[in-house]
Amino acid sequence: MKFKAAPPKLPQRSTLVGGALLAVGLVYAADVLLLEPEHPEKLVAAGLMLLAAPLAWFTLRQGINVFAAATLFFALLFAGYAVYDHLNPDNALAAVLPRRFTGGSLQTRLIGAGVLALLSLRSAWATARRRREEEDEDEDEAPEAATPEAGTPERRAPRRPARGGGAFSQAFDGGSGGKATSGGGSFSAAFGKRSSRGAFSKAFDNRRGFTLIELMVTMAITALVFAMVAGILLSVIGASERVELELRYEKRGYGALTLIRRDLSGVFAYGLGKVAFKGEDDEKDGQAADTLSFVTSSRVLPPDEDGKVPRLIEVGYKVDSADDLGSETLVLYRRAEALEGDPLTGGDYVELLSEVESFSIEYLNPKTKEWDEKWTEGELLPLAVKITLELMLDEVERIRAQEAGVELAPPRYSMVVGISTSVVPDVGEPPQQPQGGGQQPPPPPGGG
Amino acid sequence: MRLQRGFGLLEVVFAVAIVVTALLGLQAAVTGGIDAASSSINRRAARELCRSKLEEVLAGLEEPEGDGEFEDYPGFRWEATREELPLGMAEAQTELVNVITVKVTFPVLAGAVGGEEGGEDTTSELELSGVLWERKPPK
Repeated sequence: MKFKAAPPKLPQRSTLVGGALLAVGLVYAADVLLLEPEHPEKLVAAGLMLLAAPLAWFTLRQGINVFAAATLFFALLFAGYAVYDHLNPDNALAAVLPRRFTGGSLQTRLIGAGVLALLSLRSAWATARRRREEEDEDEDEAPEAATPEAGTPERRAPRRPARGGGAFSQAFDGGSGGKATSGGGSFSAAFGKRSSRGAFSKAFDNRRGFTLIELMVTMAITALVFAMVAGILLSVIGASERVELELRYEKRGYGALTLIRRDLSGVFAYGLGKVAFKGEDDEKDGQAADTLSFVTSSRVLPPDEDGKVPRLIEVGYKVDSADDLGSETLVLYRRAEALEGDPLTGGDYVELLSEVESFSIEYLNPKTKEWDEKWTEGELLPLAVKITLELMLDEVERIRAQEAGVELAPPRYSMVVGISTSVVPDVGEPPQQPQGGGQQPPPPPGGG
Repeated sequence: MRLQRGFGLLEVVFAVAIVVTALLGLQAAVTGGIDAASSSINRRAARELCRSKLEEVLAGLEEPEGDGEFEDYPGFRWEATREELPLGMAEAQTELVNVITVKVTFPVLAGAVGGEEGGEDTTSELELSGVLWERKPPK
């Protein structure tokens, strides 16, 4: 009834926009919390909407400058989306929004948002000053109407500068002046009795409200806090992502190398009278993709039904390209089976590690004490084996590095495995044992 | 309504200060956790490097009493020491047993968060030992 009778300047719009933003923000926050708890960073966007709601309400209600307010909201949303986009590079919005809105580094986008916000604040400031000047003019006229009643104690309030409703209160001042004491039933009298102002003035203007400067200081402080929070969040999230990624690489890289070391720890020079240790230098797609075959006494096979593990096991490693979703990647394969026939062949290769960048093995020659690229020395075993494994960079990390123009080296894991000479039969003796129809392995390791 | 005074700027500043303190505390906590994780990465790398270096020393590639740095791992250093282990009768001894100990010193604070260069540079170390047999030259 009050509002119908005395419509304030922009109440509907402020309530509508503020309410809508509040509702959207709340719904979005609830949506994120309930349906996507794994994406807590989306709460930043919801928080921005919730922050924008009271701002919209304030600015619109005070009639500061709708354009400035809209620009400020856009700047906030832009900044919020920049942060979100940075955290979530392949979000759904990035595909929809124009490149100009989504491109650029986080810093440039945040700076752009800051410039926009500053522009909007400047515009708001100018409008507010103009309005205040207008009001001052109104004030100059208003007291003339009010002075005749100055003696009445109830008439103190109108002396205060009316904000945001100069013409408005003036109109009511005029009406209430005469009727305030009469207690008449007329509309203006009803409101004039207490404050001699309209409903809007009573509801809002008696409360001093924030001045623009206060609002700006508050917003600046809020922005500062937000910037700090964003900085902290970004650095922490970035670091934890990096650590997580590194741990994932390390797990795969060292995992594979440890398995190879276990296989190599019981290596034998001969198997069934044939040379069993052979490493070849190979390349796939320009990357090292070496192969290695050997016989080992390590128990690297699961026991069979009788609980027996073959005494000697032939093991092989190779790298081959595999078609992974349309792109060629290298995969490290391993074979392991009970020694049978030629130790260099046979057995099924099983995928050990996918997305391998390169796999190279070097052999320490006991004669020259140099690392050789391949090993075809026959009965002689290398002193040590150095395995170097490079993993393919994570897709996201690679794209990020590419955008930043940084050349990232693939994660590289290296391991030197000593070939314990005590396990190997004397080098000087070639394999003598005739293949007496069965397992005739060289003498077992002599005390390691 | 008129009694509602609102916040003064000073109060807001204090409130912000409190909030910022809380946030900084939070950051310190999270940062500490991440630093711990990243130094665990370094520890793992150091262990593998130590093991590899020990194998190289045992294979005779590196001096049993030497030291050096690791190419791909800035800040990682190794140092090998040899200790003779007397075995059996002094006269009949034909073999020398050397205990080779490789010590790897590695940085534990990688500055994972913020990446500030002047971060506190703490190092840690670990060591592994192996046995190197040598045939004693006959007298």
